[in-house]
Amino acid sequence: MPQARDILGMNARNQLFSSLNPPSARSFATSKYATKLLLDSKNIPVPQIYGLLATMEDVSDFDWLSLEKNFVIKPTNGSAGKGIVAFKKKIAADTWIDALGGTWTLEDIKLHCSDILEGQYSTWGAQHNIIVEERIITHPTIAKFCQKGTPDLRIIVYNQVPIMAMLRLPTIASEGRANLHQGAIGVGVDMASGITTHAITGKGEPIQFLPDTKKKLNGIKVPFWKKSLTTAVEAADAAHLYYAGIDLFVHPEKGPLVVELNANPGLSIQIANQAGLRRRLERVRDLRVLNAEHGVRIGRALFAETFADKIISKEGLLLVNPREKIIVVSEAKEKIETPALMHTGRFRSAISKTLAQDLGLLDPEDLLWFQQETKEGIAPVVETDIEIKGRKMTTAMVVSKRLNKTKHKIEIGRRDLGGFLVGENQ
Amino acid sequence: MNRLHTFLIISFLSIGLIIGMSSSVGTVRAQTGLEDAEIITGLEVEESTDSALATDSAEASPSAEVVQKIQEKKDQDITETTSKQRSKLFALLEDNPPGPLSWHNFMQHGLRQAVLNGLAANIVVLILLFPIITSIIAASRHLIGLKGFGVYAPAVLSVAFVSTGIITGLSMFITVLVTALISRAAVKKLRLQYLPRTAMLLWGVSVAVLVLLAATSIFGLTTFLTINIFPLLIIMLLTENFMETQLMSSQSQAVRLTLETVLIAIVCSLLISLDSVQTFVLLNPELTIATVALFNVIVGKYSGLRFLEYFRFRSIIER
Repeated sequence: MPQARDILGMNARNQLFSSLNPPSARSFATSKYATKLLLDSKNIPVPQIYGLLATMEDVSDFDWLSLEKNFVIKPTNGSAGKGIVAFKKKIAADTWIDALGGTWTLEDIKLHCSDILEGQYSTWGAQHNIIVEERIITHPTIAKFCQKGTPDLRIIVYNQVPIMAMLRLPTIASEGRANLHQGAIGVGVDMASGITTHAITGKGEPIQFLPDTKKKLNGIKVPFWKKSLTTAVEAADAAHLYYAGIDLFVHPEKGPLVVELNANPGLSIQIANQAGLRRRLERVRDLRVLNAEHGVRIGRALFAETFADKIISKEGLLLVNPREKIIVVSEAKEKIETPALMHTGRFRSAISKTLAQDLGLLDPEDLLWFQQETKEGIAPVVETDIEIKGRKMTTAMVVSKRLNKTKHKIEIGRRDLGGFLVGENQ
Repeated sequence: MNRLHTFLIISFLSIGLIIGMSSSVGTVRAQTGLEDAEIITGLEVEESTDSALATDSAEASPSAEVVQKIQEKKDQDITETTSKQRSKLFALLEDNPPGPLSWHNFMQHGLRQAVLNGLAANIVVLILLFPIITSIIAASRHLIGLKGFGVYAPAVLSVAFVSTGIITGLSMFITVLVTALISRAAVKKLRLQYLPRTAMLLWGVSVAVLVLLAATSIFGLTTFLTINIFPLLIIMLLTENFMETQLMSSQSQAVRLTLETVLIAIVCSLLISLDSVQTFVLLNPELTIATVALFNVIVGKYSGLRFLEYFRFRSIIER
């Protein structure tokens, strides 16, 4: 559980983080169409646009009959889902069925378009345009937790590092919209594994099951997890947003598609993750991040949940000797047995420099960040896959020169000892 | 928002114009608060004594008792330039002459001179109190977490409450809000554009306020008789904020922000009604201005959790 000072409040968000976004970037975040064009030009996946209609002539010229199935009509400057109609399939030459089961003829569609152009669904601005775009099918793993609307994945990105994530499940109460304050459910996601952890209602109350069902909300594995994180970082990068909330739809084949960029993302994500954003943001503030992949590796290594209590309740505590042989996986995926010391005196695990070199772990792309190591100064931290007593994990290890000379080449710190009991095994 | 301001200003000006044209009616002049009270009340008292004698004109003029009640209320109203508050504050300045001119009392000298030249002392006090109100509003957002409708709405509402009295102001506000909600539902069916729709809303509110004012006076309530047009318009303006929020986010959000605005306004109006506060700012203008500026800077730099955020995140904060 975080301390009060670890939690990001509105004052800190507005003053210290959102303010880092240049004004030009913020304008992107408010226009859906500009966002799409920009991301599309940078080859970041977005839902496909079939047309942008600005006048009634555009509406009559548009080739509606070519649309077979799965398309959406929406106003460019509406909010909260107003005026959006999603079509499922075509049943006759000029008749379609919408997602709620209603029947629409071409005339009905044109009438709806003229309503949009007259500004009936616009919340702001004087230009009322229409976007016709692809309707996104949600990945079945997520879709089964959603009775209405399209669920999305919100990822907070700061300094090119994904910081925190939340799955947002629209409900019948939220009328299919994925905003928490409209009643959608927020589900926290572990950064390392993409597995959901805790869930809250729109009002911030913790829940375990999807309301009125017996479906557990924790333990869902979000599909395309790594790609989602990378896409989010790339999208924030493309729009020059230094601190942003990126909303993604997860398509069963295409994977993550960016739907919206938010320069001032909400704070309830902290309750859904039972973690403080402020502490996480401060931890990555001064890191030098090379590219999106590097940022994703840092985020996954830094903000991994231990799941120790889950493992303990499932498999019980595992007894390990203070000196134990463990398995390290090399760059070439070879499993190598190495003597290790279970060292509860340190937090992060450490690996000897020569061993890391032999395993090929010291490549620039394995490097996460640098940190201070006692008696050694600045040392690199690398991503390492290990196996202790049959339990596999991916962790971050400090590369230490001191361990070159000791008998054990690896020291396992407290961070990786969750679920283990260290003691002499007679 | 801006367009609506202009609309209200224009309507206010035209109302002023109409009132100015019909200035021969003494009671209307009293409503504008621009004329000298003594002349008006003198006139009214004369009229009412007449009415007591001549029964045929009794219906046209208020009774002496009502006139007295109205005058009592006006005397307590610090926003009224003709009130007794003004002479009380004037006397206060008279009784506390500042020392020889120096860096720490230059404002006292200046203000004293201006008041001696005829500037209303109560207006000086109100202007000195205004930055305090706005600071309190800013602090209640950034330190407590009460949002309200920005700074302007609660600030002017609190001055309006000081003028009308909190009970009167609140009951007027509730009336206006209820009518606005009803007329909104009615106007919705007409499918009008935004500005005509808002105009229609204010049309409904104006009619309702007229009915309320007329009805209460007929039933012998003096509560609303002293109400000024300016606080009345401010209260009506707040409904616009309410409607806008309702449109942009949600009903519950609009209700919440309205309650917060009213709460902040009540606290502020209670504070600035305190005699001790009024006396302090009038006698220490330099200290007031400097402290408020410093306070604003501190509030603006505060980046910790707001008081209400501790509640919002209480389930995840480690105890």
